[in-house]
Amino acid sequence: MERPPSILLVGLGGAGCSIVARLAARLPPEIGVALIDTDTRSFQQLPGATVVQIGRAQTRGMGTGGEAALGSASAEADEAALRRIFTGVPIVVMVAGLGGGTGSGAAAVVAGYAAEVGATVLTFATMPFSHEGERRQRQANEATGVLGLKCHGLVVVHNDLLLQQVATDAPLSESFAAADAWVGGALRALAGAFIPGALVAADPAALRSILANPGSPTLFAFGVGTGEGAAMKAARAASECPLAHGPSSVTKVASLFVHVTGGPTLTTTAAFEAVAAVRTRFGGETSTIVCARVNPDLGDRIEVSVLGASLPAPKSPAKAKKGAKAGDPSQPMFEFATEEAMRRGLFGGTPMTFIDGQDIDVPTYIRKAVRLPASP
Amino acid sequence: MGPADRDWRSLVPQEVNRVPEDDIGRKRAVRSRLPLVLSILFFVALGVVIYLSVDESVPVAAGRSFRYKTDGFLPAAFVQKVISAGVEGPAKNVRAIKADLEADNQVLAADVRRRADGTLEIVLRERVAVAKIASAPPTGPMVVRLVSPDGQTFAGTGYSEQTIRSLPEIQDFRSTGSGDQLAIEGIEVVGPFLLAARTSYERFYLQWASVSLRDCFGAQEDAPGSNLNVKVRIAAQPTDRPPLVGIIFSTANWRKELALLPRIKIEEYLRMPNATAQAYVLKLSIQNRTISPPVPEPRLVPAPLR
Amino acid sequence: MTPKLLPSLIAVIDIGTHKTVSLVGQMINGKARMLGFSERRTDGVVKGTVIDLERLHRCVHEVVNDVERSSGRSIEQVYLSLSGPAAEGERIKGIHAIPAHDGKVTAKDVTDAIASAKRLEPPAGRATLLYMRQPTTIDGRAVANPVGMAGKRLEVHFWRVTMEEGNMRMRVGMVNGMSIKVRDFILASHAAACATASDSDKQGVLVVDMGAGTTDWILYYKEHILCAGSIPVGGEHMTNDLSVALRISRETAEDLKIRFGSALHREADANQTIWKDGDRGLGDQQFNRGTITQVLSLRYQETFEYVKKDIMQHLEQLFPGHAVKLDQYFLPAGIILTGGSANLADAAEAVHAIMQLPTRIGVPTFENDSLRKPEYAGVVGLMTAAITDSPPPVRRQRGFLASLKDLFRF
Repeated sequence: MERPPSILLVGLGGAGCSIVARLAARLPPEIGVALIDTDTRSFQQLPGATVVQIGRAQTRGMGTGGEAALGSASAEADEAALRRIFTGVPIVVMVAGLGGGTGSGAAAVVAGYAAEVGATVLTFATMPFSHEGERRQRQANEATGVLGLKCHGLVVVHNDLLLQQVATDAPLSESFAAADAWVGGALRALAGAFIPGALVAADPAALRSILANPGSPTLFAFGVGTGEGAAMKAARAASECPLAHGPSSVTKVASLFVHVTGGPTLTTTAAFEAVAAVRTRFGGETSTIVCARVNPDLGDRIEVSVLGASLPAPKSPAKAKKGAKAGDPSQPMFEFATEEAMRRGLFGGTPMTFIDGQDIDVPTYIRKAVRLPASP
Repeated sequence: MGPADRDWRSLVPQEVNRVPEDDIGRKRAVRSRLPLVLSILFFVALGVVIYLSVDESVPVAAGRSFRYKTDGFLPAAFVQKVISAGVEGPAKNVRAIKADLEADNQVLAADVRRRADGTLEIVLRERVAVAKIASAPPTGPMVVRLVSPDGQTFAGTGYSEQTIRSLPEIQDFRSTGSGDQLAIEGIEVVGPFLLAARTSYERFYLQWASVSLRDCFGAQEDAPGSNLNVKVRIAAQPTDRPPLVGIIFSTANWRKELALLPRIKIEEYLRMPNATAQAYVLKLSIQNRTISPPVPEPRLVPAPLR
Repeated sequence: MTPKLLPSLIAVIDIGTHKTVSLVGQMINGKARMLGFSERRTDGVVKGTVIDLERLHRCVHEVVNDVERSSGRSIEQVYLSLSGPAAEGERIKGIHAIPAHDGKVTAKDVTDAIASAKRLEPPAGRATLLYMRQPTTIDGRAVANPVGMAGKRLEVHFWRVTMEEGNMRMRVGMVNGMSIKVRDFILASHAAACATASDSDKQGVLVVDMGAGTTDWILYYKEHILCAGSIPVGGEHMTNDLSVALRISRETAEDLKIRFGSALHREADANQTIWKDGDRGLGDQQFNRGTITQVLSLRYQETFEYVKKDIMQHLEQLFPGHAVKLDQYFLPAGIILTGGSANLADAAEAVHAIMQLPTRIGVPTFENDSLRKPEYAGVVGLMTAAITDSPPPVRRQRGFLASLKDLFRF
């Protein structure tokens, strides 16, 4: 078997597999692709890709029908196969749509396996639209809690936010395109650290160390700029990225990884200017790792991806456990980080309120998909 | 267990008679109980005072010894003499002993108590002596009596020779009466003056040999020229400069003048090249006969030759 | 010696999501005079739900301490307000058949009917907190005073509010922990109504108290409570919406909401640009007023849609089969908006558009000027309702010995 890829992009569940399938074409060769699902139809979107069908006995190849319990049982049934695809891979990027059965139930289990074989796991999880109903929202909410504990980095994408990114009369596929752009941007950013020949190189080990703690709140932002002053425009766009401003987002982190990529016009100076702008917005006081690459296909486009986390590098696992007993000061933050408070913002700790199937704590304008004018 | 028990009052019997657990609760508890506690303490204190005073008027069988303390100089022998004088001796009641002790002018207040075993406990407070006066009786040697700030004179029993010598003498005074009833004219000015000097400006006070009341009679404080003429001891002064023999304070303004005194650099002035007189007197204010009050204006003037 | 009668001390505490307020007054000549007042930012409550009991306990304790200091009295009993969806209400009735031989209702009949109503079990796991009297009916006809009237079937109705037992124990326990007894619970919406609606208003009025964490509403008909409810949405949600939409901190959002917010979105707003700090200094940000009003008006109007739906659901339950219309015949006094969020600009207009009823902002009537604001309707109303509904017993001056015993009751 060939050498395992530096980065493995994994799609989990129906929604996750769709996103990965759309992205697969434009990825650099260093990134491997795998699809995991209970429903074999997902695999048809990307013929020839590595696939793992889970829960054959439980679902008979037909999907979980929205039952999270079935999803997690399916993943546990195929533990060996899952561990095999993750062995030897430094970074695993998992994309899962929460709310359904496979996505909600299996995500935490799969992430757990990947982490156990030594990969750093970054998960992009999408939260269902408000109009998808109470059951899916509740399942997604619970899944996020468990998932956060197992992944090294968890970026939550609210589908409602996607609707904000496109015009009000745009077809739904356009809004998904926005999500694809974010995940794609993140992938290219992470891959950039592993590919030789960068303008400003980053150390992959340092990158992994940012995401070293399971359960730490993760920041991800992505921005694009073109033409004159593209670098600063991209930095501004990243600063305003809705992923960093959702109801459950964290906005100031201690460690940052900033990836700037652009066409032949990209200069080191411009890259560092963009990094400085991003740092004023997102922090990065403890460490900021910069990687800049030139990609001739981009022309005068510049893309800025920001990945960040807040907790300091941990002690070894054994000591960390002991530290917990002794009242280690960083330990309470562990629990807090995955608490509901981080996920639901102001309303964490209170019961979710649903009226007509909608979580009314989510801002009204998002649920009604009202597009707001851009700020001046 | 019926539906009535689902009423919140029956589910939660509210017990609030608990010791407050946090500091806010303690603050509130103290504040709410404070008036009551204070009034109770007041009554308790009242009871104790009554109890103690009732105890005193009961005469008890004679005891031999007594314990004695004073803040002045009176010896225990004096007390013994007073107690033993009279018919009953130590058996007489506490109030009588107290009255006898206080009959002596040197005693300001006597606190006499009889303890459970019959012994007496005596604590004396004596008058403070700020000066002495000498008077010549018709027969016999000069009698020196000590003067307290409020004008009372007393024998000075128990004072050492040195102490008496260090007290300033009041001279040129006019008086009426004799013995314990001696009343010195002007003592109401000199007394407080000497007490203030002794308390706050002891350094200077100790050097004063005498105070003359020659210009103080009638002691209308704002009478022009009315002053206290202090004579300073020469013996302790350095010999390489003319001595300071006297200080003149005005009766109207002596407090401010005393406060001024430490700030005057007497040594410097007396060593100045134009200090050629034999001796100097420090006048602390100008006492113009027609304008009062006096104007503070310290100056060294040559002493008039005697 | 006849024991001296002292005027009763009334202490009320209104624990809200945003602030906790306490008021202490005394009954003099039948009127309440204010003795002390204190207010603090609430710590540990979100959306009307307690999320950190210890912090809340400390906050309330400090409020009590402050009000004791300001009034110079020590508090032993207190009235608590009850708000939020945790306190669910429903209509219950007690039936009493009037003995045939007499045909007339006696006072005892009424008492028996009330007792039978109060014997009804609340839903499992819930404790009964309070009863509010509703009109009595004889043979289906509502009557003001049933005693002496003829009929066959006497029904007394109550609006009973229950709460989960654990929740109730927590609240009472928290107050007991400060060495204070809870004298009674009072429904927050009823309190707000007592402060802002007159008796003539209560012939037919809807009072909506929109606070920071919850929106409590109560419907009065013919001077009695008809039904009440609560939606767990309040001013906090508006601030949160704005903070997410404009990508600003919650404090900035709150500030902008107060200064530039509106319950109505007008086309002209979109052309207005506002500065956050207003002084164009470093770090100042520009915002489009249209965005602000749009976000806030969406949330505000949606909340009232929910209130309307809740009311209709309750009315459906009370009068099954009849489609009750919320119009001026039913509610002649219209709608009274109160609570902190009633300060939002154009609130009355927005509600009028949604509910199609005349709406006004309710300001509590009170002797003290500084409390005549909608956000204090709750606490002022608590005092008014306490006096009207369950006044404290008149105290006898205790003898010295009894006071001593009390002093050393540790």
